[in-house]
Amino acid sequence: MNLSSPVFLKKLRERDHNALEHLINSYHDALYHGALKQKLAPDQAEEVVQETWSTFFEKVENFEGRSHIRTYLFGILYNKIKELWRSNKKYTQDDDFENTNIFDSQGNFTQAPIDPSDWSQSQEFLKVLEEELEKLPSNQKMVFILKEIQGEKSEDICNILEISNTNLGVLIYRAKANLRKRIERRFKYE
Amino acid sequence: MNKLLKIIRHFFHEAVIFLIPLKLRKSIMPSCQQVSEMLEKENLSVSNSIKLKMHLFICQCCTDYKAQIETISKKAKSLEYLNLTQKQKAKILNSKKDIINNLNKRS
Repeated sequence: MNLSSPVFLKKLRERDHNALEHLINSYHDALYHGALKQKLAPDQAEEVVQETWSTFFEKVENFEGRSHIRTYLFGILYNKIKELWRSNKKYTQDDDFENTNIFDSQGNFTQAPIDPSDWSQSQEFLKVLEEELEKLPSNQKMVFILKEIQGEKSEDICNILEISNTNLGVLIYRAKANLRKRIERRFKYE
Repeated sequence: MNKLLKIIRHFFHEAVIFLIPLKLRKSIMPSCQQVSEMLEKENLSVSNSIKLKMHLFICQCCTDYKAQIETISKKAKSLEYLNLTQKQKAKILNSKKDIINNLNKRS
């Protein structure tokens, strides 16, 4: 069954049982893996995937097929994950940190970045990276994971998250600059 | 070797500051902030690419910044490894069955 065909999409909109079941069988595992790759615990992954399907069932009648069904489903999933991050105290964001500027009015570094040659050899580095990634604002964290960890193409990320290419560039830049600064602080004072 | 490169970079940095007036320097050389943004752009024009290389050639701060960003990107790739346990695989299967069962109840 072709998941992009107009016939299949029509069946979905009519809530055809077989079509919906086929869709679940096709994408459930991928959604679950997608949630786990965003560093959710298995229970949380299960919860967001179930919520994703519930939202999809509610909205399926309005699905016009402008984007691929996979893009549409992952769009819902990532929105659910962002909602979870925002509501979860564990992911409280350190906004003050983000706002401290690393450049002066002339565009020069206010503090020289340290030489990172020790980072590659440090066994702690991956742990620190993972911990600091958790603390990033949800949008930055999501695009960083999608682009840098999962290696998704920029075009696909823009479609799934419904953001422009410029916006994606800004988010990636901020995510990396934030991570860099946070990691540097950890290595400086530990 | 690294130390020697740092000394050479410092020498060129001082030479550029001494020899090229600020106004001219600003027009031909991007600031550190602009360089940090350029490093994230996928398609840089030829002129921007040359400006970026020129800046990196004389600026130790941006060279270290670039190295930090590259280390983060490189190391982040190894976070992708996702090895599901049998328990997790069974959980995925069960949750799929639950959703299909709920679908049956709805219809």
